[in-house]
Amino acid sequence: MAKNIALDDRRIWLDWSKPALPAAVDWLFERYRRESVWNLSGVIVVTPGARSRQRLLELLVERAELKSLNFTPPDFVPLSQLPERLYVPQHKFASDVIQQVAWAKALRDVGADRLKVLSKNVPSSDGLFEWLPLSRIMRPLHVDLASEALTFGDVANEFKRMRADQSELNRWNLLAQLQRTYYDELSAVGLWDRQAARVTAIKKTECRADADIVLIGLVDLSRVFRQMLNQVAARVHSLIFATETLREGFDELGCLRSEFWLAQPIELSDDQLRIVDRPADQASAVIECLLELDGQFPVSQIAIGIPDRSVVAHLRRALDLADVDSRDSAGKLLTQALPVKLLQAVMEYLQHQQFSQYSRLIRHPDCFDWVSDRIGNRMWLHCIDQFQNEFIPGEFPLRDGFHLSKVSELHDVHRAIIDLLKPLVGHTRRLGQWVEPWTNLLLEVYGGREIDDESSPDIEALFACRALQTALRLLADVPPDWTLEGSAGDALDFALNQVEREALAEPDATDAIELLGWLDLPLDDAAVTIVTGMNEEFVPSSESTHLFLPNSARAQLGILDNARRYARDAYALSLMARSPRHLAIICGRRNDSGDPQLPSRLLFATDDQTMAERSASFFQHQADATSRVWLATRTVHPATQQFSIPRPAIDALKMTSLSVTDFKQYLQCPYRFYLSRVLKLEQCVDNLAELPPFAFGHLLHEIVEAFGNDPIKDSTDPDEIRKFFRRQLELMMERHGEQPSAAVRIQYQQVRLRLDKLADLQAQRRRDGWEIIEAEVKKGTGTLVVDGVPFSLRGRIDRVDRNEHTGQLAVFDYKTMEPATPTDKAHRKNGEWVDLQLPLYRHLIQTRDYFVSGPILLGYILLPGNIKNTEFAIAEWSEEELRSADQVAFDVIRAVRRNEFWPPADEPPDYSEPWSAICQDDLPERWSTSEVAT
Amino acid sequence: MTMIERATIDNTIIRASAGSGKTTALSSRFLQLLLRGVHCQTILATTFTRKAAGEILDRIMTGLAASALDDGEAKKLSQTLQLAGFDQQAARPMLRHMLSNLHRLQIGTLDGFFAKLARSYSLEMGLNPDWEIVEQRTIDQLAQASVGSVLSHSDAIQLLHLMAKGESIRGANKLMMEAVRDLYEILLDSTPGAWFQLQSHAVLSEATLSSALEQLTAIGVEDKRMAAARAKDCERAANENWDGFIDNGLVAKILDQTNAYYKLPIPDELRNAYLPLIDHVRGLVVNELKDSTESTYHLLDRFRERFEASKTESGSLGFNDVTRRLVKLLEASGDRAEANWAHRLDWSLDHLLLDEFQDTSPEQWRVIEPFARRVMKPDSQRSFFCVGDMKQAIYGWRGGVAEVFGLVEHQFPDLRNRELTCSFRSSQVIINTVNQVFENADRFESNNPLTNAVVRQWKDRFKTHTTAKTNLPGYAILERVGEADDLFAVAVDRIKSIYERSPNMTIAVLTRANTEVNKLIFALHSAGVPASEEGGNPLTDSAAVLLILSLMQLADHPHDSVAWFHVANSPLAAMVALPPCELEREKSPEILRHVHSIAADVRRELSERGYGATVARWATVLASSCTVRELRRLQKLIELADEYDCDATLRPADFVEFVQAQKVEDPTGSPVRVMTIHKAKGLEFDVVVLPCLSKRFIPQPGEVMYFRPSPTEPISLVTRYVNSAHRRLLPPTILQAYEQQFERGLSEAICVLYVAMTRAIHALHMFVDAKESDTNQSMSGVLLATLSNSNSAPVKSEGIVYEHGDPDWAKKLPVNAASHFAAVPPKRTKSRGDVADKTLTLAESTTGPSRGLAMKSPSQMIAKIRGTIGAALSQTAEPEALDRGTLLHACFAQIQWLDEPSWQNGLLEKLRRQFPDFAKLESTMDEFKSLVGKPTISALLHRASYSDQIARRVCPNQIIFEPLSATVENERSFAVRMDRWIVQGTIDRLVLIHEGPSLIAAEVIEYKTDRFWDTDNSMIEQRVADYRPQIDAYRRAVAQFTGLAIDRVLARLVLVGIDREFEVR
Ligand code: SF4
Repeated sequence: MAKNIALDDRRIWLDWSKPALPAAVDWLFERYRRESVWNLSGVIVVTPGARSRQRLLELLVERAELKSLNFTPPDFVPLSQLPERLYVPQHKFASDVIQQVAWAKALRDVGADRLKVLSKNVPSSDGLFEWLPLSRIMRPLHVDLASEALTFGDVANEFKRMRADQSELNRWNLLAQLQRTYYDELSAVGLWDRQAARVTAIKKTECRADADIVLIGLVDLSRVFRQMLNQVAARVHSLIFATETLREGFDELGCLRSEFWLAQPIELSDDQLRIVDRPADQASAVIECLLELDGQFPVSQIAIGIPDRSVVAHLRRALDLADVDSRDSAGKLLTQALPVKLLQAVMEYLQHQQFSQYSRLIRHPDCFDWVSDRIGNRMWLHCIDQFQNEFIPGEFPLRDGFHLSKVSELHDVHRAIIDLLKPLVGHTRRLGQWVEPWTNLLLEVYGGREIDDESSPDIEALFACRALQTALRLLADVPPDWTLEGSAGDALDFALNQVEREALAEPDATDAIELLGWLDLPLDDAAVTIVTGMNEEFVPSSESTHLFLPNSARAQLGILDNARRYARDAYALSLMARSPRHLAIICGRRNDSGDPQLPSRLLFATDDQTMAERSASFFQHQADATSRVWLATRTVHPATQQFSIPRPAIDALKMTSLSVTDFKQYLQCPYRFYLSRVLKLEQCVDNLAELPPFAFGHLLHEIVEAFGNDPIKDSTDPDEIRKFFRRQLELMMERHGEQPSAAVRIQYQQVRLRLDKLADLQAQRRRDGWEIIEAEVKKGTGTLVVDGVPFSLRGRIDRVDRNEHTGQLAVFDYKTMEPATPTDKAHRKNGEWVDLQLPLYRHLIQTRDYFVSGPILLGYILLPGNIKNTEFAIAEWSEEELRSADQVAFDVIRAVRRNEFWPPADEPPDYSEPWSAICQDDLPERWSTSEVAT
Repeated sequence: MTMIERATIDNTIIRASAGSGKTTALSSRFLQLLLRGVHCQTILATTFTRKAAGEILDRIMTGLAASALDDGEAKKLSQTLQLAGFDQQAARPMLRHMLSNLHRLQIGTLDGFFAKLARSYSLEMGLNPDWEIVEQRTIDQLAQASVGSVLSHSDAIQLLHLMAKGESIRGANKLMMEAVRDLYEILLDSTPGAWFQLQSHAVLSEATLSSALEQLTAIGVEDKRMAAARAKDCERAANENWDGFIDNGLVAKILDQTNAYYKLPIPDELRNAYLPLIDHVRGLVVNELKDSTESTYHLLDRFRERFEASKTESGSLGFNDVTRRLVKLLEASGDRAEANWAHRLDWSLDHLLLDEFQDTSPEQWRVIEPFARRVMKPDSQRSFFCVGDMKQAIYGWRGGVAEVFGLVEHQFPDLRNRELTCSFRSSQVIINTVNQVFENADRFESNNPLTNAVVRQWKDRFKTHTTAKTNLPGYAILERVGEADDLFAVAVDRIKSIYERSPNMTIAVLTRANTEVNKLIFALHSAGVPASEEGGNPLTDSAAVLLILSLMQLADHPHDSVAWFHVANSPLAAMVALPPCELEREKSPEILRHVHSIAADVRRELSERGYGATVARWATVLASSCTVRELRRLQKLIELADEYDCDATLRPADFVEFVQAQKVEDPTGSPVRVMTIHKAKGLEFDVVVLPCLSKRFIPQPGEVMYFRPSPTEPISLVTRYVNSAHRRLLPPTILQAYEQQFERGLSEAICVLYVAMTRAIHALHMFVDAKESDTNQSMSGVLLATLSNSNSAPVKSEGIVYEHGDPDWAKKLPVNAASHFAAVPPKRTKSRGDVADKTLTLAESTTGPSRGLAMKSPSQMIAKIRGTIGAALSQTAEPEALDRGTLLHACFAQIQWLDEPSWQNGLLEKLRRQFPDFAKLESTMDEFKSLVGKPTISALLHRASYSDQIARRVCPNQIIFEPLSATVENERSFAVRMDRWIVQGTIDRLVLIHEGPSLIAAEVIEYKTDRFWDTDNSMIEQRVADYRPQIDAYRRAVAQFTGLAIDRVLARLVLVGIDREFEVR
């Protein structure tokens, strides 16, 4: 019993109606100050988190200054490091990395078939690296249990006692053995598992303390900590923020008794509580709370609690727009930092060397700058697009020698990239051996960067680089004879896995509102606390699924379970509610994707009446349909669309020629014609998976052109022609380098099929006496005299045939569209001319020397997908029909001469997507062109 | 437990017509169970959307809350829900039970429940535990990759070619992606055999073919026309125009069994002569179909291997994947499963409440079934309950198979079967109209017997509806819009007037497709009706958003002149200093270079500040020129950007794609809402307008035809689609498949009509188009046939076809009709003041005690981080060197004065404690001992010698009255405030000098232990200079906490390596 009383003395009750940390300072002051000396040097102080530690120090210094004392700060020890201050470890500890690998090793040694009990797919190979994924499951489970002084074996026994399902027992027995193997692996290389070491220390009652240990508001300690502290109880002081009347709620060390807090009411008044709809609305609610403060408090006295991170973005936007600075104490995820992104991009590219990955990598700002400096030119990105569109590479291998010559800058770029990445290529080696190449890459890209410690990007880059450097270094410690091997990517992947959750702190700020995590709130002494996201799953959090330990089992084992989670948060909220501060609590109805959220159970820990009222007002809370518009603040807004469709700038522009295909464009829409044919605007893409239709057609054209200009054009032997076509096709194919994408290869074969068919028809046609007299008339020009003024006509004719017997001329255009559109259907929509290509050829051909006046046959050579329909299709237009076409052409020319490119046609024509943004095609509130049209 | 509680609850299946209170039924069932003391965790209540699940919970909780607050409400509730013994006293504990178990509630979607199951069985399912449900976008990317690898197979081309029935399509990738999109789900849901049901069919050889033709021509035919027809047939056959051959002439007659041409019977001899040819064509068709189908299978099957593997590896799954994998798991584990499940899930699942049961897919049922079996075991304390409406089965395309509903009844005969046909939503008028349409459905005569069969079936299944809302006024009208007018225009016109007459009525305009939603919105806007769009469109329907996306595009592709032009002509141009995009651009490289660097800057800003922050900044530039709608869209864009930041790539173009792929609703709170019928399911409106009835509802030909032997069995036969002409040549099994599919599609289409009509509370406005050619293909057909008052043929004229009720119904509204669950007037929570116009001001940060001071070590606080990152990185020295440094310091820390040899006692042990794993412990110790032997250091550390020095240094020309005494504090840690920082640090050795009792001076001694020390003097000076600021900081600190004047605080820097000391002043 005596012991117990002794222990009981360890608890110091600090009335929670005063702010917590200042109260703690009072206590430390009372106890340790001697006249003008306040010496805390010997004293070990442990607080729940870094945040409260920093704040406590701040308050201590402030007090020392105030009383002008000779002050020596205490020895602040992070909770996680406290145990090692209480006993002397006998061996070196295994780093997290090494533990990870040790688990992988244990798994591998136990062997695939035995593991079947555990997991359906286990690695087949012996490569240690393959086993890491599984080990990532083992280690957390191990830490989780070991921190509660439990081995997998203990759990197995407990389950046996509970008569758990056989399959569960099998799993745990296996796990137990795995754990033993794991320990063996470590001791084999003279290392120690930190958790195990602690448990041993406890067993051997080795814990000693030669200094006072002051625990400040540590209400939830895992078993290992409690047992150790009990061994040094005489030196422990546990400061508890609560009235002594609640002593039932705490154990001897001041840890919470779940069952007590589960039943404890929490006193909140309804006007501290706000129920709103979505995270965006939570943000607005915060602003409202701030408005209600009527400027009584400075930002430094305001803290906003963020249990649910999905509120942060909205909140910061809202605060920005209200010109209030904020500081997110959670910082920025390391993985979001540019150096990390660079290494990841490199890794991804190295793995498959796909073009898509390449095009990402080179757009990494720092990679881009590095390359640009190397080649002394910042204008090269377009070459990559160009290359992609032309060759549609699947892969983009990390070596020279595939045809980049066409785009020389790209050639240089690639050379640079190759130099940068070469050291990382190559086969699997010990992961440790990749540390240097990776670090060098960092140094190469970032090493030269001058740090300006006012610029956060610089600082961020520096810290990120440091973090990476350390993470990588850890790989080197892996015992060599464990032969953990893999590619450079594997090494990085593994290293990054360790720093995944690390964050880069935002710079401290006295003039910004702090966004704090839930756990930091209770001890925080801000005058105003606004808590967002007071919803189930955040406060309190609870675990609904677990691979190994469902909640009931956890309860059985007396380790962290949902009840304890609830107790922790219930106490936290009670503390906040009691301590003197302006408290507001915001509770969301739905999440960002509009799915319902549950209110925190804590809100209903109260009398029946209030409980019922609250649940009523939550569950029948109706959102007002309109989502709040932050941007609307402090501006008046036009009723009609203000973003205009740019008028054509036509000063002094005089078009004196058109190509035969221009007419169709103009007839469809003069404005879009202006954009595409006058300004020649072009869209860039680099995600072609295969030849787009026009390129596909272009390919065919090139081949038939070659045919038309080769003596073979007079052949009447289909096979000979076919051979020619195929040879051409192979030549073309070579342009795509060694590995054209599968789709492209297939497309070429499709082209071949069409040409094969054409070969037959062509041979036949030649036999019928038609000879090709010209193919791909390059700069075919003709002149139309309109209103007495000549206007010139451009255009290339795919092919002109002459019948050797009749001298009849025939003009052709190759068409590959599917399904084949007959000539007239293509040129006229219910009687109106919509395309003038073929008719206008008449005028082009007149300038050719072989031209003899007389009717000319106009037609398509159709090469559609369905080869059956391949044919020479002649248009049957009468002379006056053709003349009417000319009339239409004249009108177009007149309009063009008058620079009439306005307004855009209302119905967007087909294939006009590129212009849809400029022309506002899909806008319910379109800018009315009509009023400006005249 | 009392008697009632122990009595088992019967297992029930409910067919509930629209508005008959499905949710109510389910919620009351839930309450019944609670009332019987069932723990809420053991009740699984599922439906198909999270929203719906939320409504169920709301219903239960508001009901309980209301009852807990007011016994009257409780009584009411207990009546409407037949909850024997339910009252305020009962309600309170029930409510508390629910509220304290919120985290245990199992009310959600079926998918959600499955996901939870799968979570706890990840390993058994061969999934990496960090798998997650990902967006379609991600899955599509995986699909694209897999397609790539499928195409790279050597024989891919042949297969594709066959799949495309001999077409040499332009886009192989496109074709394959489409096949995947349309057919993959079917592949997964079919037995492999299903794709190989066709037997190849013999065709005639050249020779036999021509002889067959000769025979045909040889036969004598008297009738001229028949002879002519035969001639044509032969001609077609001769030049292999087989499609023409079977579509025309005598062949057509033979195939459709008429066997007569212009009433004249076709002589058997002639007919028989045709048969071989017909059979030849059959061969051609069948073989082509066989090839096409089988090659489709091969391609998709290969795809499956890659695709499923990549999903497992990357741990990216869709909900269907989860379900399918669960089915597999179940098949593997058999009955043992559910016992174990109870353990893993941590609760035993005793009561099933399934909503929207008609939308259950076969796979989903396969997962639920074992649970269902278990709870339905006789005299178990468990229960089963499901509710649905086959008339509202409109999710076939999502895999829902309404027949599962029927199947369950027949699988579990002793299910109690209830049918709810009484609406608690619609007015009598609406109900009458609905009845008239569906009870007389058979009046609708299509030229297609299949259609008629389905329609009749529907009629037979339909039970006359009634309504509890007989007192509600109502109005229903079917209008036929004339040839001349545009239907949408007319509809918009009507909506306008309805809206103006009763502005606070909810009006829903329901369409068939999303595209129509946009059209209507546009039309309504231009007509001045503020309509709220609920289809959910990509944000690209906003000019402001488009501009921002263009800037992104430009950042990604500096050469994209379209984007350039777009941005250059906008407010954004000034923001980024973008030059105009004129023709000259082609000539001037300067301009281009400028644009390129702008692009680079934008890319950097995006990845440094994040997309959210950047877009927000741009948005403020645009805000002033935005209409309120534009602002709403812009705001949504910012939210998307913030969401995107979590996994932002390095390419702005990826963001553009991301935005284009996201559908974002734009609710405006306007009473007029436009949405698709599918979106309207489960909602109700005062007025419903149906402008899109004149649309072919007979399902469009799909990519394949397939047959499912029973609702829950996998598909047993699949072939590619063939047109009706060819179908006539195929074996009956295939026709059967076609028909089954047709029927399913058609009855679903009728369901859509039913859902559409039953959304209405008061008024229903339906429009059909007189321009419509054949109404026997569309919903309008059904309506015309059933609503046109007379059994005579449907009126062809325009104008009002049907009108029922009172056009001025709105005037006759009662106050408001009470719902089942009375609502409590919500508790007074703070009224939401309009933040928009107030501006936020906070107090100035006071000079007094401030929070969040920066923590700095002296070195940081003085020395700005200088130099390059490279330098900084190389400074973080090797751990090896670090250890040595700290160890040496630790040794020095042991020394008060060297004169007192005690310092050596137990030194090694002490150090062991601190450095358990430092290898070179002894050697370093020896090094240390030699160090302290060196003259300078030992002079510094001996009391005697030190006192001499100090006397001289502290007060050179003063007379000392009392002897000076020096006390040492090793590793003296301190924390003081210097302007905006808390400076924290440890002084290696602090010597305090007293004259008698009073402190008159102090000295800071700092050891530097770097081993290889450059002996070149100038270098040393430099290094010392580097340290000076830090030492100064120490002095200031000491001055502060000792209260000494700064010049009374001396400092010395000791370079241990070379045994030299430097005074720092
Ligand atoms: S082969 Fe390719 S890489 Fe080599 S020089 Fe020619 S273009 Fe450059």
